[in-house]
Amino acid sequence: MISPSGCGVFGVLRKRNSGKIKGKLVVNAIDSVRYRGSDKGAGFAVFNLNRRNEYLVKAFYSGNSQELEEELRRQGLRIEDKSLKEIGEVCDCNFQITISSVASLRKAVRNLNEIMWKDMEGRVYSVGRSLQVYKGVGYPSDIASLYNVNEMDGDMWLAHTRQPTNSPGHYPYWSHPFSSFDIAIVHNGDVSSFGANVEFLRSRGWEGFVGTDSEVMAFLFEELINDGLSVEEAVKMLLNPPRRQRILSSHEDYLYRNARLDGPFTAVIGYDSGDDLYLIGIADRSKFRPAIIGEDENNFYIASEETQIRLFNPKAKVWTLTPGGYFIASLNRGVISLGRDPEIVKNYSIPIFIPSNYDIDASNVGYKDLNKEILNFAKIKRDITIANVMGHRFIGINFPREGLTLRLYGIVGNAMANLNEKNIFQVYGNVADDCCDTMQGGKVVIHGDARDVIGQAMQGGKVFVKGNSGNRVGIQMREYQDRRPYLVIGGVTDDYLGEYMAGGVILVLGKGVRREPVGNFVGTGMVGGRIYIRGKVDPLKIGLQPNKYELTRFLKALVMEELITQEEYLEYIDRPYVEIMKRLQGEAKKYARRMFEEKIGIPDYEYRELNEGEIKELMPIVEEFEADIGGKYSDLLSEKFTIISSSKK
Amino acid sequence: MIIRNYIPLPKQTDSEFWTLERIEHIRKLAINGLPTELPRNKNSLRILDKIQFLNIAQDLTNNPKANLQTYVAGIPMSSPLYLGDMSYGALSGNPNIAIAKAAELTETLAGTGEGGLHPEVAKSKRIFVQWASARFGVDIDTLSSGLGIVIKIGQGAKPGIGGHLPGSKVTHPISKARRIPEGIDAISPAPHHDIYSIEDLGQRIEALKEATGKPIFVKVAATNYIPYIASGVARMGASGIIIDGHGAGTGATPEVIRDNLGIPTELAVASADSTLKTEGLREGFTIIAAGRVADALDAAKLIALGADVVSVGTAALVAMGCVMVHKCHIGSCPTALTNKIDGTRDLEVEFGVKSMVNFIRGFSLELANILDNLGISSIQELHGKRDLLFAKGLSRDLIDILGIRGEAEEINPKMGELWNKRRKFHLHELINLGEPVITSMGSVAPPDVETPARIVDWLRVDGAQVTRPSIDPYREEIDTSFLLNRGKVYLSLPVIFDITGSPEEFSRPLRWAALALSSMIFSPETPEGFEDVSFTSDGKGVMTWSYTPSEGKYVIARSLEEAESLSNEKGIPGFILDEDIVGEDLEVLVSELDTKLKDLGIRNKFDIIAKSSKLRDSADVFKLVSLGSDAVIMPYKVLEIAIGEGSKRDLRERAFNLIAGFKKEIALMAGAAGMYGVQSSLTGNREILRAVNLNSYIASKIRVRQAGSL
Repeated sequence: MISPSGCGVFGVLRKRNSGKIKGKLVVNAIDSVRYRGSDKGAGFAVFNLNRRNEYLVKAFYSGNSQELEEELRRQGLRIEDKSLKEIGEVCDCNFQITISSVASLRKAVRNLNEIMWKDMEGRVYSVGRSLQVYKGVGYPSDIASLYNVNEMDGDMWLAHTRQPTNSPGHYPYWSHPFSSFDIAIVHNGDVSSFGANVEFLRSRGWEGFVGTDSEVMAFLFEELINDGLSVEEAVKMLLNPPRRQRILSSHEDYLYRNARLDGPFTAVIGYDSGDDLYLIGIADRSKFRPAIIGEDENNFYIASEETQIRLFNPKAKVWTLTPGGYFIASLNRGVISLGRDPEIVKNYSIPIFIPSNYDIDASNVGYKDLNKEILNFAKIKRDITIANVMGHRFIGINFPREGLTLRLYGIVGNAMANLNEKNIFQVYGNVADDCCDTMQGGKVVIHGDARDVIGQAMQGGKVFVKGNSGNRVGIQMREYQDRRPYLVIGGVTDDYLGEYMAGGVILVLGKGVRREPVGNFVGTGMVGGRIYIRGKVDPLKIGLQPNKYELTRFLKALVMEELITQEEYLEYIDRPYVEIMKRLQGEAKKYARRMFEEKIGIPDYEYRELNEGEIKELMPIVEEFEADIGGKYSDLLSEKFTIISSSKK
Repeated sequence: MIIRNYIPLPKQTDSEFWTLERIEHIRKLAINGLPTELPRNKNSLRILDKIQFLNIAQDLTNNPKANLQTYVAGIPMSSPLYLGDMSYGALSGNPNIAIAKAAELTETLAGTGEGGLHPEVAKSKRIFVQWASARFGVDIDTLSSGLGIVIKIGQGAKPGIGGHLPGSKVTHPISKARRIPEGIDAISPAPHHDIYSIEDLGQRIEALKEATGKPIFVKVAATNYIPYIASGVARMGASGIIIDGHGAGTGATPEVIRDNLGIPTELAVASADSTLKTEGLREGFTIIAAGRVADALDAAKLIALGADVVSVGTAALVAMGCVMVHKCHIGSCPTALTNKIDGTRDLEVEFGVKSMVNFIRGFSLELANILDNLGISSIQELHGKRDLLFAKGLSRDLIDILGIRGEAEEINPKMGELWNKRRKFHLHELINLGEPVITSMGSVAPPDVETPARIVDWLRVDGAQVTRPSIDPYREEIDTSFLLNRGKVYLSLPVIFDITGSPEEFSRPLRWAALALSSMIFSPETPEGFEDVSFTSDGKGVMTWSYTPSEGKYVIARSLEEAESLSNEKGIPGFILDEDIVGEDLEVLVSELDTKLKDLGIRNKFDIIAKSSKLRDSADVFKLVSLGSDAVIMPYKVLEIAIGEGSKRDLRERAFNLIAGFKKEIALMAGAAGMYGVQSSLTGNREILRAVNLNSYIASKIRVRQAGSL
């Protein structure tokens, strides 16, 4: 039985000179996103660095706990102490043990789990020195009160609220965190490599999994560490970087096939290396799941939603992982990897929560009720200021044509201004994913940052973002008749900007940034519209292009059949594919097309100054952007731009 | 030209699910609106046709007594019939109008599909509108104009695949409905880019409810994890799920996807219904079963297996005159159902409405007759009554999944023709195009229609949806490359052509194509200039094979035992398992060696290379890799067969197209299954496969579970 799940995750690690982190705060942080999960499972892992040779074995067991104890002894473990707790139909059995060697304990636990799981009778879910897992069936607050988590404190915490698509709802086996010795993991996603990963573990002697990808991830990480990989090497391996980037050597790549993750995942891993504690956050290479990183004076944070971090500290520095990025910090070493270019991390915005005057205080209003509250207020006032927005979702969805001006302070949750036609949204803070989906008109101004998938299938109106935005910005934008949408980003964007774009204009200004303000795969599948990016963008980032190795082979084959000359080969060999395509002719070009491109082809790109017509079109937009956002942007239009448009014009 | 009559049925020379018997039955209903004798489907291999009602009388009356009234999300329906989700654009306008009108006249329901609302369709009160990945023509008015909203995640004919309406078909009326400029390609992304997980889906369901107050349904393809998906959908607050099975129709789909991904609706529905019940989520939740529902007996069986309502799509088209030419994507439909909208040929709306209404009435009367014959007075009483059913000719595992009684039968897996006409034609098109072949309407692939010829023919591949997104190989990076020989050798796809004994006219183009596309060639000798792509026995190629074990050389094993014992020898990079030499099924050989080496803890030190003269296409390769092979050696004959009787001109280009086409097909399948790193994620990943009625003994040998199992 397998059990894919969606979820909310959270991780926090204290800094070296800070105090321990209170359980109560962690419970609040995960409970704030309980709508991401369900009553089907939640859990916590707490780490307190501990160098003693004592281990706590924690198991759920539905049989007689005496049997379990005997089995533990049979496996050669010395039980020093025990505590048994009946929860529903199972016993939460905890045994304090001492061991002669870690290897023997490892073996004992494997055997135990294989024996117990045969008839799904039980499961060892946590074995560790510094690490303890508390999990069960219920919402995070239920589990917290069951185990008194609120009263605990720790050097590092992981927390999880679970959204299963299936598993017997009354057993705790499938709840997160999953743990394997000194590692605990919470995960949001559903990896498509699950079956392959299980096969890898099978070849390492592991059997009898409860059947979630999260458990498999914990075991994989442990196997990699046991093979002698460093924390960072193990993380890179799991992340499955594209071969073309040559981050893994061919030999490692080969040897660890089946040990890498695919599909959507954001995972938070806690690891006790014996003398240090590591907090690790990883995101899949398409960044299908949200992953927010935070830092303040006291702690490092990883969360599914910004709200969770803001509850700890409204003024924390917050940024996002890049697609395929990883964050690592340790108690002793501090930040090891930020998960993003430090120059960009500096530019992320901190929201304002409370303006001097406001009409609605959202801190007392649930996300569903906020829309109602706004509509009530709209009877007396058309320009409404709302304070303390904290992850409220769907704002504006049931009044797309109301024609209101909303001034939102704080952090707006997912799916704001979807289907919007006539409202104006001014957000003095950050906006989460899926903003402005299928927007028909009106305007959205974000004075902070936007996260992933802003402006999907936007068909009219304007969206202005002062700060940075995430993955898949402006995908599927389109225009029809007299309606043309404009999306302006003051900072940077990640991958897949303008994917499937069919109309409208995206302008990326990258203000205050020296590097190119976009990620990879710009304009893939673009059939219309235009993307303007300030500065020169590496042509390798446009569309989807073949890798260098295959391209070289291909060119060699063309020489062999005299479809190109040796001289041409030498001229092409170091050029990017888009440049080669401009030069190839006749049959050679036909082969190249057929090899790498689909019907849509790779978009055209130019690097030049804007022409008169473009200035005439864009200047009023940028001036409006200035008026809304403040600051000087219009002078940027005189610089050179990379201009991307459909090749099928 | 106005079409207001049926055209004569062409002869069927190939295997077809929509047999003349089935089509003629639907025509009779559509002409008379009265019940008639049901098709017998004697030779059908479909699972549903191997399930029968026990103790059913055979009476037929025009005035059956049973009550068919049913409720979907509180909406009363005169009969449990949903007219399934065919878009304006896939159909050419008038058929859409006819379907919507018929739904209103018969008090059933019609799904509009993605493509915006035709203004005439919008007038019907009995429609479900669609929220699909491209949002074509969607605004608050569109969303509010039906009785419900369908979030379309997937469809049975192309799990995990998006849509692409070429610019040439985006004529003025289509452009208006979809609100995109005329002549521009209309692309529907494979996944919804706001729905990558179950909680994302929950968010969209909630958002649409907030926006419109309408009940929300979710349409998915029947895939490996359907029971989990169904419970997730229910838990997220949807009113129901439309489960679209393998074999469902479509206006355009890559043939390799249609024929190899997804599972039959009967297994998916039974399994989803059971899981929903266990989870306590079944009450008040609607299951609409879609895919190959051809007549009232199908409907009755599906309802007894756990569906509430059945969806008819292809059958509705047949009622309006479809003769199953499988050419909707060309845009020149002879019956004016799916042709390009340019005024040259139109279906008469009146004819369409009349045929549809008669069909629905006749179908319903037949369903009521079945209930009468079972001694059941209302459709609610039939619902979930699995004890009325009995299976014959199904494997033990499958009978358990269906939860019915039956006589188990473990079938010989290799009864069919290895190279039938359809397979040859598919390859023929592939070598002419160099990209995946597009086709339309439902699949005729084994094991449901054509007789399986190999074990792989019983295996279906997963399509990612809801809990994880599929990946669009045209717009996003999918890496089909494989490293072999401890990482020293790079293949851009796990395919190697064996040119041993091939005439020069085939071997030379294949060799060149292998070089151009970073594939490899298997043969005894290494010609100069091709060292990098030669897998040969003379020691001059990039990889060397041998019949005897020796350091650095791949061994052609004579038996599984030999391969296993040689795994102790020093310096052997891998094994070639040649079906022709060992004389056992390649699927079993590969899987067993893979498993053995894993049990010994040494799997990743070796390559397992599968080889046979009986391999046919990229799907065979894909499935063999997921059973544990690191690469597959195919016979050069594939190119010869693909050319067939045709001209042997341009062999270089066609060899190139063959390998490029395979590569793209592999990327399509991997992407549909939600994988971007094919070697790491696919090799040995049996979880991605499901068997459909495969002999239980073989299924457990290759460690593949049956479709619908948990």
